[in-house]
Amino acid sequence: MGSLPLSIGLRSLLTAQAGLETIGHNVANASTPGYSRQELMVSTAPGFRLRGLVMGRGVQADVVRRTVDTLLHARLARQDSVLGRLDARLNGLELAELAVGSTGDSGLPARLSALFASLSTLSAAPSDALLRAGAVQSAEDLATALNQAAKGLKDLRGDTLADLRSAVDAANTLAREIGDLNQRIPELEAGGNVANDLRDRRDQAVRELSELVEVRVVEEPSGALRVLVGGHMLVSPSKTSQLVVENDPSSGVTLLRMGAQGPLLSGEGGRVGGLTGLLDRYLPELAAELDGYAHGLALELNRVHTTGLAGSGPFTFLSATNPVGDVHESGRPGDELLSAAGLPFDIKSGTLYVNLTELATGTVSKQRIAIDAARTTVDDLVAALDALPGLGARLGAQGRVELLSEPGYGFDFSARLDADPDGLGSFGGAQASLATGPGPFALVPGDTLDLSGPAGSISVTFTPLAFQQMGQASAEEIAAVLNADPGVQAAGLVAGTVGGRLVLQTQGAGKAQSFTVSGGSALAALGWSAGTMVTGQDSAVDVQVSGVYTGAANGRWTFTPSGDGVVGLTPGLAVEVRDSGGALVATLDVGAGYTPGDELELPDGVRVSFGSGELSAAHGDVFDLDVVADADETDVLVALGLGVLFTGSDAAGLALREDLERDPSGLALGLGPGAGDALNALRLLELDGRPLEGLGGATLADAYGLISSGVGLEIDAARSTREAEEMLLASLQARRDELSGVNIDEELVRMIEQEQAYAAASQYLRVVSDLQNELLNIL
Amino acid sequence: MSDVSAILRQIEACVVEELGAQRRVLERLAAQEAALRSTDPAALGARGREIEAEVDASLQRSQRRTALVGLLAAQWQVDARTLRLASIVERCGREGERLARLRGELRQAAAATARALRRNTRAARAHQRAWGEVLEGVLSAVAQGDVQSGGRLVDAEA
Repeated sequence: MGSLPLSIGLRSLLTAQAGLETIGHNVANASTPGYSRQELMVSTAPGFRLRGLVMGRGVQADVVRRTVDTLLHARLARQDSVLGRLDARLNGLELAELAVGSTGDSGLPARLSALFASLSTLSAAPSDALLRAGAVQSAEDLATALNQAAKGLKDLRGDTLADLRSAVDAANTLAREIGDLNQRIPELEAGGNVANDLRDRRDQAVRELSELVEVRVVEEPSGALRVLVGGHMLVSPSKTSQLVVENDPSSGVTLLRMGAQGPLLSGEGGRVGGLTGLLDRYLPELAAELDGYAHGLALELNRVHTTGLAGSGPFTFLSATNPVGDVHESGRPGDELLSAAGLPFDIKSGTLYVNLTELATGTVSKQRIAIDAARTTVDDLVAALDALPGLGARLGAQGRVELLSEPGYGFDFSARLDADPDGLGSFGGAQASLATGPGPFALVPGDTLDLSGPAGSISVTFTPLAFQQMGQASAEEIAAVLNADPGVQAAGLVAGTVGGRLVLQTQGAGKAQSFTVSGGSALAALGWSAGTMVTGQDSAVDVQVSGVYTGAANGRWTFTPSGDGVVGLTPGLAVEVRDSGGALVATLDVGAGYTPGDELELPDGVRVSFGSGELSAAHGDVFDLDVVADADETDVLVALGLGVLFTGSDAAGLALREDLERDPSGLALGLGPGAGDALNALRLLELDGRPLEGLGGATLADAYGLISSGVGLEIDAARSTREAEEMLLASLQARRDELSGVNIDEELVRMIEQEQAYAAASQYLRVVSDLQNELLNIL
Repeated sequence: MSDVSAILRQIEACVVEELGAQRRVLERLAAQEAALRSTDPAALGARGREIEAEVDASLQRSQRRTALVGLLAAQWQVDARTLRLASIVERCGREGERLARLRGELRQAAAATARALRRNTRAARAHQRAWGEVLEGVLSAVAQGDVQSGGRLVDAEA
């Protein structure tokens, strides 16, 4: 009983000391991240019974309690995760913007403008070697700009992957720390202690982990935490796993696993989620957009360049820059369909026009090769090219198509008009000539054609073997049969075709040359009459075509006289021009009043002149003119890389064709053989500002602008989202600080109040003591 | 009734009043002791104001008591400063028996109050000294910027 007051006093002092320590602890940790303000909870110490009386035992300190809102903490952790992802994404986007940035002289738009500016200058003086070198340099700069953008994105992917590995390492370190605290906290608390600071540290570690990777946290009754990532356990009360990053260098796909052999994770949140999103989606998509742009740019510029004529003139040798692939691994790449031969550009069905030039005379013959994307193989194309007069073609050892002209010949693929379209001489030619109407022709097996030529007579019998469908025989098939018959040649005759018409001619020219169609059962099918005799003339009608075809589509115009007569003399003599559908394009008056040799205007920039001579509608005088807007409808030249401006088909691989750097005369700026012709340069210039099919209908500048502005828009969106989420985090953090944070001023005020209260109490007690002493004095 | 007897009855009434006051002060001191232990400054202040009211009342009682003793000293023609309750009881003989009993009760009550006062005074001074030291330390740390530069995590429970 005697020690009770002492015990009470001691307990009181100890309680006060605990309160003091708590306040001191709060103040000391005011700036510790994640620290939660602590409060000493006190209560009346339980009394005890003595001689029937319940005696009080004063005050006792129960527990130092953390002021924590667990729901708020969980929400803060989720918000950390959201901001971690947004931060990583925003940072990556800003770096991507630098890589594909469109500003400055080294930016792609500036390089594109520089190329077109140099082409514009060059178009005024296409043979100027210095200007050509400048244009070549501009083209190379453009390719380099795309190369640099691609390299920037590739480097960024590498850096992002390194960041991801670093973030995952940091996450693993935090997971281990949480695992360690998971051991210590239950141990302490099981012994009746409180583990406030360890819990604060663990909560802080969870928040730091949330910033790195989206987690879900569950607290066990023991006080240990389970931390789950993507539904899989990263930290359990007894075990801590590790996150593992795997990156497939070939596919570029990044995988996040729980443990080396563990399940794949698809975490979207946190810095790891943001970096993974950049690596697996945004950056590859941006690189693909850039590659798509480079592909479209190469396609469009090369389409024009391959169908132009170099300043050095027609090619005598050309090797493809893109090899065909042996896709089916048959050992013979020539077997592959052109459209499935692993070429970097698509092949379409259409016509490829090849100009073959006799170098000595400048005579050009325009040849056509039909390509069916679904049927034509590499070998088919090579064979078709090889079959052209004056041109040899082969598939080289490296899988590259090689073209070599025969001596004295050159070749090109320009869209120029055939200046001398009546090569056969079937339109007022010097040879005796008789033409049918357009085929096909309904021959029957055993049909005959009897001819009497200048050197003898012959009867030709047609058999089904020579035709695909004899009832639908083509002019080419009939001409082949006739030319294959030695008797026809022996009779001094030769057969040809013009626009689906069969043309039979004498081998020789002049008035002395004539032949007669004597008879035969095939006459009805051919539309000829027995006894028709045709005679040559001393002077053929000279047909000359000039100008540049400006029409939008390829076509073939057929020229036929309206009657029989002499050019410039016969009243009413005209030449009708029809397109391949039979529609009348123009009627040219070449009768009386027309001065032979004068140019007559046709639509779409084409001009034609006719020399003196006789024309005969009765004998089927005819010639064709190919009007070519696109000399390669199939894109086979671009796909194979024959005569291109740029090699490569993606942003990283785009390069100026190697030989152009050494010899800028290889720039195909013209359409005709003249050195001063800059017509193809003008076609190249037209690409600037024109919606292009290869770029999805956008212009060259707009298509790139869409890519760079797309990055800018992504950045704006990410920034505004981040700002909104940051505000939310600040609000949550303020609420947390309000609840759990330490306010030093508040703690000081509390201490001063406490100190002053004790001082006041001492003061009162002294006065009371004085009065009490006075009372005791009088007792 | 003589004047002395009347004054004696009045002194007895004062002692009874003082006994009641001592019990109240003792209660106030007990409450203050609880407030001291609770480290609750608001409770401590409230208890202080209650004791302050008792101090005022005590001063008035002391003045009345001094005046009555002065009257008795005049009756007995002695120096008032020499009179104590004990000497008054001795001088009154049988007439002072009740006052003698009341005096004994008051001595016990005053002794209890004095013990409580000493206990509370020691506790209040110890608390005041301790808080003062902590306050001095914290203010010094704040002035040096130690707190703002980041605290050191201390495992208080470890």
